[in-house]
Amino acid sequence: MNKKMRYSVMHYTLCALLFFFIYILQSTPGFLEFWGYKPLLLAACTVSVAMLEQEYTGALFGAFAGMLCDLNANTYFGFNAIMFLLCGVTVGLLCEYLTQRNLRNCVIFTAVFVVGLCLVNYFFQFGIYNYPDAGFYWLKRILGTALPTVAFTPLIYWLFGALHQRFEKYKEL
Amino acid sequence: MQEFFHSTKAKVLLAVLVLLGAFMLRAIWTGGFSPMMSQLLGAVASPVQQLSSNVSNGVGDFFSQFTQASKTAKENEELRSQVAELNQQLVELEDLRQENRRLEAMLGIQEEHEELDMVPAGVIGRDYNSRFGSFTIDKGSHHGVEPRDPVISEEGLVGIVSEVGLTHSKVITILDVSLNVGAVDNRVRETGIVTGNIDLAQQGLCMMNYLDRESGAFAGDLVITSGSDGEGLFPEGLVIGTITEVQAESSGLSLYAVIQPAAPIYELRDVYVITDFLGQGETLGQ
Repeated sequence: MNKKMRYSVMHYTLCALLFFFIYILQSTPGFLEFWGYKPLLLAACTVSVAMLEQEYTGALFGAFAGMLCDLNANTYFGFNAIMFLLCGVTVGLLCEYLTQRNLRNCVIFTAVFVVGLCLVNYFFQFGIYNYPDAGFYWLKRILGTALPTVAFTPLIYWLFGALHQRFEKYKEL
Repeated sequence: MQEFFHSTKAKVLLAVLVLLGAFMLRAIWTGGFSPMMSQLLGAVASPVQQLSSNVSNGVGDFFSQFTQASKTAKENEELRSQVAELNQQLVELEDLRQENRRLEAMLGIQEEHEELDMVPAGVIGRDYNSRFGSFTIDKGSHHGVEPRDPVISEEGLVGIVSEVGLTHSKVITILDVSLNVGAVDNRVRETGIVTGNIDLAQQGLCMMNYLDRESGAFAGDLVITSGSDGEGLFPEGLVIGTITEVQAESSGLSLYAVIQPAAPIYELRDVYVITDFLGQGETLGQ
């Protein structure tokens, strides 16, 4: 194993551990809970990694983040993994060909992804069953999830950015 | 961008996508049993989540007790330092204390319902998108838990197990619109169906439908499981909650009652899974 590969393995192992740690923080009952709503921190992690490490790595880490979310979610196992994987590819490709890699775009992508994911969830959990008054209930859930997620996004982007910069420096040596 | 779609990496991602799709289809097919990948991840994550949940509970207790102590601390500085010391010990002993409380409560419930086989469990995870207070517990198929097992707390009925992994399970609550529980008003013996309602669930309440217009159900009545939900999901006599108001259905044909669940659904830390009871899984006609 050459030096560059060794640093890559270390880098991605640290990223995976960070994802796992953030998942634990995100799912712990009563922790990071604001008026009964919890942020989806792994969405910000997936978007950050996809922006910094490009589409392939972003997609694989997205699938990992989604599988972690599936452990607690009231959806069939694999649903979140697919959604997060698609998010990783899309954000990675957008940053590669259309937009810049910066905090503002990271916040926008995270917000769009969280709202989109909540809407798809709404469709499968309530929309197709036509429960009365579900729209307003879900609107509150979307805002309750998206706002704290967006608030934490700069911190997460900074964290993964610092990790990326540190290892890029080593890889170039 | 076309380069990416023609690359090997894109084909690998497509294969991963198909694999995840297969996981999902399998989860739908088996209806309640997690796929192997979920069980493996769960087996790794559950102990850490349990630890994190205990620390979170400990810290929560620490801060709530500190707030209370700060009121008295104005009068007595010494007492406050003692409380702080005790709180530090409390965090360390949180794990043992919780286990002890679970077992004591279980013994109490077991004495009341000798016919029930129960497994004590801790709440270790709540989803960002937690549907009607649903949560994850630290017991799974390894501990004898199966899909559709009833879940209770010291106070009363909580819900049922919706999905089981090796060392964790997901629980949906009685606030969920998809769960129906056969119930009876304990005073007038009027039967109905307890289910969730989107508006009421936000206030931690649920409703009992199909009450007869002539029924004498009234605010303050205790509602318990009837044991006759047609699917043998719940044993008879579990406390569901108390009626807070009775109103006419929009059709005017029957009444419905708003129920305050006995169990604090959004604040639960410890629950019990009923793994076996007389009549479990017996459908009508059997």
